[in-house]
Amino acid sequence: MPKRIEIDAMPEGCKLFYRDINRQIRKAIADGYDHIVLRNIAGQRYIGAGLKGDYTIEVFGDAGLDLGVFSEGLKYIVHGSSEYLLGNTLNGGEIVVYGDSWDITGMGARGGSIFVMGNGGSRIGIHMKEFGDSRPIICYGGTVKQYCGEYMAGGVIVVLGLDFKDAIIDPKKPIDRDNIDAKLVKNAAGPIVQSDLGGGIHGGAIYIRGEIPDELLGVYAKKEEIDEGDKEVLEPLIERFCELYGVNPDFIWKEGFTKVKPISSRPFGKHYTTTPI
Amino acid sequence: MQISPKFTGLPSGGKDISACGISALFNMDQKPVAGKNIMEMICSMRERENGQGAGFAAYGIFPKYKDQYCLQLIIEDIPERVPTKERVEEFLLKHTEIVKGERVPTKNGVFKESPDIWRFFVNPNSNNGDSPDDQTKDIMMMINERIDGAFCMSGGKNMAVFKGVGWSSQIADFYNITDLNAYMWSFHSRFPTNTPGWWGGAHPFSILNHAIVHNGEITSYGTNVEYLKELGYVCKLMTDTEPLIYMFDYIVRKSGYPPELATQIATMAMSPPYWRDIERMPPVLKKWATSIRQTHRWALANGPFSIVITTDYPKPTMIGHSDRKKLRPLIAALSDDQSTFYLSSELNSIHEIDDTMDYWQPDPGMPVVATTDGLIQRGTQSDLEKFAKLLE
Amino acid sequence: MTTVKDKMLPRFKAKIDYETCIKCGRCGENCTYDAIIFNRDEDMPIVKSTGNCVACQRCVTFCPVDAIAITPYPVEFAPHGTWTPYHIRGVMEQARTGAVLLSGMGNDRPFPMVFDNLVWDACQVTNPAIDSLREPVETRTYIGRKPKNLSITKNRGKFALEDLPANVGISTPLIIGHMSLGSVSYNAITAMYRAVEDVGTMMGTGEGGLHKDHYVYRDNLIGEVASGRFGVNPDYLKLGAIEIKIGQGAKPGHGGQLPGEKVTQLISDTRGIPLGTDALSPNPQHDIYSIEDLKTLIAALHEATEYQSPVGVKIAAVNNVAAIASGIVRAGADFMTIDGFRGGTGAAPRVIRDNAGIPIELAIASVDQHLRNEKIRHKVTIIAGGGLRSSSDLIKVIALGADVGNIGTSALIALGCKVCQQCPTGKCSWGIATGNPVLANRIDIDWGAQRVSNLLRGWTHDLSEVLGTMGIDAVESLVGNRDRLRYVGPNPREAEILGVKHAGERIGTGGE
Repeated sequence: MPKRIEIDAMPEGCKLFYRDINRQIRKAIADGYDHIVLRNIAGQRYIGAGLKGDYTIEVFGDAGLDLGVFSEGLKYIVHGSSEYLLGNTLNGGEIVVYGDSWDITGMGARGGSIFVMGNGGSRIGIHMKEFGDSRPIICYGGTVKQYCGEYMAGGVIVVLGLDFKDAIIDPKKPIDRDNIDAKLVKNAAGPIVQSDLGGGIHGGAIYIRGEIPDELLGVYAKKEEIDEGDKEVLEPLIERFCELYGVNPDFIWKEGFTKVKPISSRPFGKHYTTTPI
Repeated sequence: MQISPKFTGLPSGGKDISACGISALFNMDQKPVAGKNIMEMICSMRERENGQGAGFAAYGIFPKYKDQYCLQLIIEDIPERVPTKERVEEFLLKHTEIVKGERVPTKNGVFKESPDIWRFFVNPNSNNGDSPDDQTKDIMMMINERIDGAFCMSGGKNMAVFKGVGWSSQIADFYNITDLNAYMWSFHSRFPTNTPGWWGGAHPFSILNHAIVHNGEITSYGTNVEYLKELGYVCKLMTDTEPLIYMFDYIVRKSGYPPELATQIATMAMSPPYWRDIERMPPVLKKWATSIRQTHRWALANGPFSIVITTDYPKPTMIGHSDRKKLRPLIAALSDDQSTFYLSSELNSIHEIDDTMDYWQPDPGMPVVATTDGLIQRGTQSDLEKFAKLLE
Repeated sequence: MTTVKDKMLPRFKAKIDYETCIKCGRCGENCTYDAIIFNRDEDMPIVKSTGNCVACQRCVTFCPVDAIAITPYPVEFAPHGTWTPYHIRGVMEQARTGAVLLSGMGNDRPFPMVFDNLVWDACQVTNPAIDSLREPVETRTYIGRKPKNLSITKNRGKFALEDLPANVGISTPLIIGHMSLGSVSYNAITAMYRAVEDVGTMMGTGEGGLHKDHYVYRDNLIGEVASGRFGVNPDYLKLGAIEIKIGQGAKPGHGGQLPGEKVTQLISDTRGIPLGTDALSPNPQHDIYSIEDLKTLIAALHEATEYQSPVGVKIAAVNNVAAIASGIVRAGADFMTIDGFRGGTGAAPRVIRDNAGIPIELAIASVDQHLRNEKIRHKVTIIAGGGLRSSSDLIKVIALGADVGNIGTSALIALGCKVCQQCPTGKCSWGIATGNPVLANRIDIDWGAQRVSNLLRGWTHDLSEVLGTMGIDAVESLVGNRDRLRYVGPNPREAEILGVKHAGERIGTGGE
């Protein structure tokens, strides 16, 4: 039976310092709670930094940067947007954002899944890596900007290019998946990724829904059509996305995916000389 | 030995480098907005400052003297010298007609020690054929260069800059921000790597009617400063931000470019498209982008930055801009009634005063621009297509 | 009357290890200086006259078993601080001949190297370094005149932009300086032309006209108009850029002469002069006696080229270089090359090569500062050369105020040159500085082009990596950015002229 506790981050109208929030989270865990709800979050940083274990942290409001940094095994749910560096150096668990999350999401992650309903910024999934069974996953419902998957060494990034704007019933309230009208989810207008996609990628794969022009590919990245193996990777991921955000999977699969993968695992092997001089 | 002034003297620590918080709001109908709003925005980002400096720019605050240049100054006396204010007045009388001079109301007790703040509404003498703008620019630079104990924070019309060393909340308090109403505001809080106790080093930096707040470091500082020397601007304040606002002033105002294009040219020069992207542009746009890059090549502001530039030249305008590598945060938002435009380092600062859901991150290197005509560029690649439509 | 006492003492000793030698004969075939010959009768290479050895390393390179050693000749002059071999040998040779000592390559005196007193800055913490391998770091540069402002007009509600003066784009701020066909061989020059085309940069033609085979590279060539006007014709004026040569760093104030015996059919055709006549480049250009005259020639070239090619002026770095540069800009030059006193040459009087002119580092800093003060620096592209030995020199010279660096010797080293300084003899064993077609064929053009391309690319990669570490993503932001340099040498006055702070000084006034 999960034990739930609520923490108000704005007691008596006074914004709690991140240190106090994390102190309260750690105390709640020590007290045996495993579902911690944070109300009135307004940009506080480092929420749940460095925690490990099977706990759920639910955030209402806009999370500050570095949510879930270094953590392993937790589930974070953000009802709002998140600043940059979401899931920085994540080791496992799941982060779900009902909003946008901008630059450098999942930097250097070695495990775990990050789902973002809306849009991302630059350098999503930069230098993610996989090792053994641990394989980090990032899935954006909306669009992302330049340097997505830059020097990625492993894991999976998915960009779906959806637009939820018309589907959200009451924009003034935290987004609640039960209230998303799946019929009103559209495809985003314009390119859903920007330049230097997968620049220097040497492991893992990026899946972009739809076609992408060659000029957006970064150095030593190449694109391919997806095969059955890729579908096996994508299917559970998209199923989870649809479950989280109340979207019909058929709508997503209506469009094909382009896979971006490394040309080589040692792309810059010839960039440096080796002869004694 | 010369005594270095405490508040207005340049620091000895070297060029200042800082990572900061930025907030800005602009009522595009030019309706006054209370200072409390911008104060709440900036103060919500406590982690972005360390008490070493803050400041704000406010537009539309002197309707009674809107035709005069308002020189707003930090004044401190220097032992054994004529009181600084008298020396400033003497200098101004030589070069301008002083319509009004007044002490800027500040709150006692916020700081243990604080300088005097004065403002003078002036009309520059028309004696050498320069435009009044150019004369005022020179007067401002001369005060900062030559009059010990005085630092001119701003010299525009119907606007002023208020700044100093302290937390953003202290600066807001010191200058009685809650008594001020302005249609356009920018506010900056600092996290400098140096800890110089000089008030002039806080943001915004301003020249004429432009003011800039900046988060970042300019790696092309040396190149930009050398370029500005040729254009008639002397960088003396030892901050990366100073050349940015001078380059903006040069391209937007001094170069004489058509007002419809000036902002686009300035932002494109400071954060141009890569050559590889220019290669792919349609011919007319390609020619313009190539020529802008070639002509203003040393106006390129390299290194990480996000900035907000406010100006009322040629009309009230707010620009949010980031470097093309996107190494500093900047979020834009529009109020539900589309009247108010916001920029901030972090979304929560905007949501502090307006829970609008129309917020977005501008594309790297693409300026987001709002004027009294509304939000005219959202900071996306497609803005270039709009620009191209003006060109042949 | 020549006697044994006129003998010039050997400088190098070529020694063959006969135990290792496999008697393949390659050393003898390759030696062009008659130092080693292969004795067919004895089936044995022999050192014929070690005094002839110039340490060109050709035999060493071609010996498949590394059996040859070249060492300084074991008996040298008695050590003397003043009377070094450089001077004793010079006196001996002039006593023998009564002539001017002729030399090749650049200044070989151990003057202090200003470049080596400079270090540069890098990003730490307050701004991120850029990963130049994966994110764009732009090295593209344009040679040509730039206006102060764009010129915009409004027609029927739309805005029109006046064309900028002609500018030619290069992929990297690194070009190969002027070398003529004649000073270097057909194969060498073809390899270099092909390399600059491949890399997307430029090379100067030198004063030697342009061979008909080479017009295919026209967009990548800077056609030199010098005092001899060799090969200058309407077709030649349609090259990527045109440059008036006033002087060169190796021999400021001195012209040149390709002796008649080197004016072969190839040279005769290219330069448009009779076979076997001396090809003389007078010291001055006789239509330029003043800055007004320079203006006239620039204008004539602008007219003749219909303003389609940038017109530049190349000068040697001399005492008054800053003021001269200012005059050149005012005379209408679109770009200018400043050649420092270490610049190379195919042949120059040694006394001039080794003593005239000033270092490029100081010259560039001074020119850049002066043109800034005059508010005309933005108009002109500055190309700096004269002893750029590595990408680090290129980077430093740009930070000191140049837009572009040019190399000569480095490109020749890419083609095999070992800097033995025998260029004027025409015996170049590497097939570079020679008019002898047999020797020229020692350069396989494909191989040579690849080597020179590689070099240009390697330096460009270096430049990008360094820019990345400085947090700069376009090379124009390094131009004149002395702020990012620091001085570590012994002479504060030098730092002052360079406009560079001493290491340890911070940006800003440092508490003045």
